[in-house]
Amino acid sequence: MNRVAFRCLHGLVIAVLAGLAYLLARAVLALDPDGRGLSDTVTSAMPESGVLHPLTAVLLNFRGYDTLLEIAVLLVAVLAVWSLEPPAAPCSRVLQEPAHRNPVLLVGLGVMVPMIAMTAGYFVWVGAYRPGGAFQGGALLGAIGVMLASTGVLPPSIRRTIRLRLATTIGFAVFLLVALLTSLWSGTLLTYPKAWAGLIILAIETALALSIGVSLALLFMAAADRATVHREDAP
Amino acid sequence: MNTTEWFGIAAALLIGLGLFGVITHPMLLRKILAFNLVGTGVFLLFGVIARRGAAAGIDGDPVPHAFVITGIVVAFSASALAVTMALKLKSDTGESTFPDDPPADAPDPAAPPRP
Repeated sequence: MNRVAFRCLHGLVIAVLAGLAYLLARAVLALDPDGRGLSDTVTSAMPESGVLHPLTAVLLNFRGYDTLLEIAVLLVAVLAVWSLEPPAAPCSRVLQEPAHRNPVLLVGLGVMVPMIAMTAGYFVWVGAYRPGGAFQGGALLGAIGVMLASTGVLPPSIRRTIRLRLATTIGFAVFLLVALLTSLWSGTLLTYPKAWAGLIILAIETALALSIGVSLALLFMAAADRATVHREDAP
Repeated sequence: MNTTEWFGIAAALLIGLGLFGVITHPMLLRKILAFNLVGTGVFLLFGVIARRGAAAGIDGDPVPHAFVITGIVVAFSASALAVTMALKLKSDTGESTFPDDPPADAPDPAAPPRP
């Protein structure tokens, strides 16, 4: 392809995408600023949800089906990453030294990891009546995994023990079990009995947070492991 | 123009810029980054859409908010999978770039292929 044709094609792509961005902006600006979306529907259904925060009610109750599929996607991503055979040799030369050589790092981790874990637990619990919930808590748990992996405290190629596999799948498993039980009991998928809704949501969120945290950390570690030269015998 | 509308315009720009990167950059890592830019634009767009629900006396329409919260986690896992596959490609073939048709400053087609 010669230079002129390449330039023309480039210009065409820019023109089309500028048009797309313009249309999108026009569409956003054309929205009714006083529109209420689904807020009223959610607000009126809140007493049946078992929680006090509308976001958690939507995620775990009203649109629980979406969240069930979402955690399934996360599990599939972990399985897909695991199913790629391990790297024969690292792809780039990022040197990693174990943390036990650096006392400042170890003390910092010793302070931060418990604090982050506590905050994650708080987020899961507070999701019932404030912003928070399984995804925020899970993301924090994942951050712990990223910290431990990138400082070399966790082994670079983590062994896929049965406990690790259980932690990865428990969110999806608990959610699926609830879906099965509710569909047997009430005939519809994920329609919780009103009296139990709060407890069911807390149970699902706890399992979800654990699985999301472990999955995010595992995804990070799988990618990092491929790009890292591990130096265990550094001076 | 209020703040929410500016955020909407920014979202549209991010989506356009991100798609431009996905289409034009031959490097896989750049494509992944550009795709994340598209995702960020979509999340921002959902935030703008959710903001309209504030009229009902809560922070915003919770349904688009919920989509964004699950979407961020899915976007992260998809990116991690994409990066892992790009690294796998790199370790198997030594390449992390699509073979592109370089513009005219490249050698003529009869020349031997680049090493």
